[in-house]
Amino acid sequence: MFSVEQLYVNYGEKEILHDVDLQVAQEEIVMIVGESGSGKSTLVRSIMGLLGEEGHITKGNIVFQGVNLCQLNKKQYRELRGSRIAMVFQQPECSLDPTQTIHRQFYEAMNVHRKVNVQEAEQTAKRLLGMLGFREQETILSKYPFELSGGMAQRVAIALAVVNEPAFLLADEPTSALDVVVQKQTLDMILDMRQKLHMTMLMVTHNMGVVAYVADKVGVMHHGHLVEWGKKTEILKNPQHPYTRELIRAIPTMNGILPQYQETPQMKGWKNKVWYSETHWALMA
Amino acid sequence: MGIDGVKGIGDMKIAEIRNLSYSYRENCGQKKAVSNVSFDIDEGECLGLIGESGSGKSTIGSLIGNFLTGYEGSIHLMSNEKELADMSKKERHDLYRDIQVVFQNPWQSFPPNMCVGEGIAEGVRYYSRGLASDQKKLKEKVLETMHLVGLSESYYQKKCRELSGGECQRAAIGRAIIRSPRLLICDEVTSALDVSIQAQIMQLLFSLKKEMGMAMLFISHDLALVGGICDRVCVLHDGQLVEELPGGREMYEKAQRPYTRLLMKSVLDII
Repeated sequence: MFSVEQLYVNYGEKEILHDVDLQVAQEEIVMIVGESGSGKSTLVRSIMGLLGEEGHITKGNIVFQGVNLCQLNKKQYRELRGSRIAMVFQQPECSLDPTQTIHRQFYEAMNVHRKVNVQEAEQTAKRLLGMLGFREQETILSKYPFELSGGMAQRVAIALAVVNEPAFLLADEPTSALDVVVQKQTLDMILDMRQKLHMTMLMVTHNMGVVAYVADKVGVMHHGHLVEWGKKTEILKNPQHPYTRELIRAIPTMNGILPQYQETPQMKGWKNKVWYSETHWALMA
Repeated sequence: MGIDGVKGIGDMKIAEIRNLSYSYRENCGQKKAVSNVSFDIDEGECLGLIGESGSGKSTIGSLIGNFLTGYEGSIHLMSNEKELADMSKKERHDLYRDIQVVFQNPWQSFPPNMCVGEGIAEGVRYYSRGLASDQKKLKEKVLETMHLVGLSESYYQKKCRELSGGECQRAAIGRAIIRSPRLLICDEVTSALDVSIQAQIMQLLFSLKKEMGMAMLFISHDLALVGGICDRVCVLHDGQLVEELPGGREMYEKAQRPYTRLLMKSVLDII
């Protein structure tokens, strides 16, 4: 359904992504993990066509439902964004307009892609907000973004992203600005929504705990390389790359031991190899 | 001891908080952020304050750090007989030699035009004029501290915006510990950082606590994080202290209150 083939991305002269390959199947949740500066956000931005002035794809393809996204012009891209591919950002305040009520924002988001009337927009908005765990949908719709708490605003941003029922949802650290309680709630909502709306998702995070909770497949990125790729259970139980191992050790757990992380020289030496799990090879054969 | 009214080190209480309440003024009326909270911090002890956003944990940190005034109840620091609010400016200045704070956002806590070395030296300049006037000694002290927090000498001349989050947080910790404080308040020190960097900072704080024997008030929303470093943990909910637990593994076994259980369930463990 979606694949990235040998993608190289540059920002100015600097190469940020090197030879990234990944495939996402229908209704699958794929998570990309890695630390700040590992290129995971760049990957998501290049899929959305939001690399900005500096960034450009130097080599490789991004294929979505048989269409090569790298060859689209601006207008075609704009039609695709928000309707078939949608995105959720880390900071909900950045994706909501502070001067308009939530109701108005839902109406606008829908009206861009197809003609709707206000009532219809309200119905859809209420249904989605209900799905994301809001009980008093009416009051939420009449509010402005700054009247919402961080967790509420992020859930509204997610509802807004899926308002046109996109087939593919991208999310860049959707829960890292939230505290642990709200993070868990939001992830539950995301899992629930995938079932109801039959969406495929690609999410980026630095938190292995989030990966363990929602992902089907995992890609680990380190210094712009995809260093490990496979099913969640295989990667969490039997990590191959030294960086993945350290990343798993760094997660705070409930056993009262301090999390550990040590950068080892092997990590750098191994960065050009991708560790594919056994299932991957089985699928490729 | 230099400060008046301080007892010997053995029976020392770093902080004694009794019936502390605080309200923020809002456009119509007041919003209670902390109500009736009491706890102690002993010498060399690490106390964790846990709760979700808005539970009042940072407000308590700010009250102890003297960033907010106008509270109800009492705060006694360093076994001082005088209550914090009754102290004169001079007394407070003397008292806060021994209390330092590290904040969530490391870049915001350094002046952008200062290099890291100068920024760390600020920690001394305000309190020890003698040391601050001797440039050579001061630089030695700063380099020694930088070594302690894991920054090499090459960082001395760098500006804080050139540093990554983890490096900048190390520098902020360096500035806080340069005068060997007896209480370090850490307000969500790792929430802005990646898990890998978070682990490194936690290791650093743990080793500093052991080496320097300072007490810590560790404020965080992540229950899994505090277990490893804290000796005792207070759980806050809507400004009230709902449960006091021992640190380490016992914390998870002894938790009783439904709210603490909810916080625990929210920790995403890998299976």
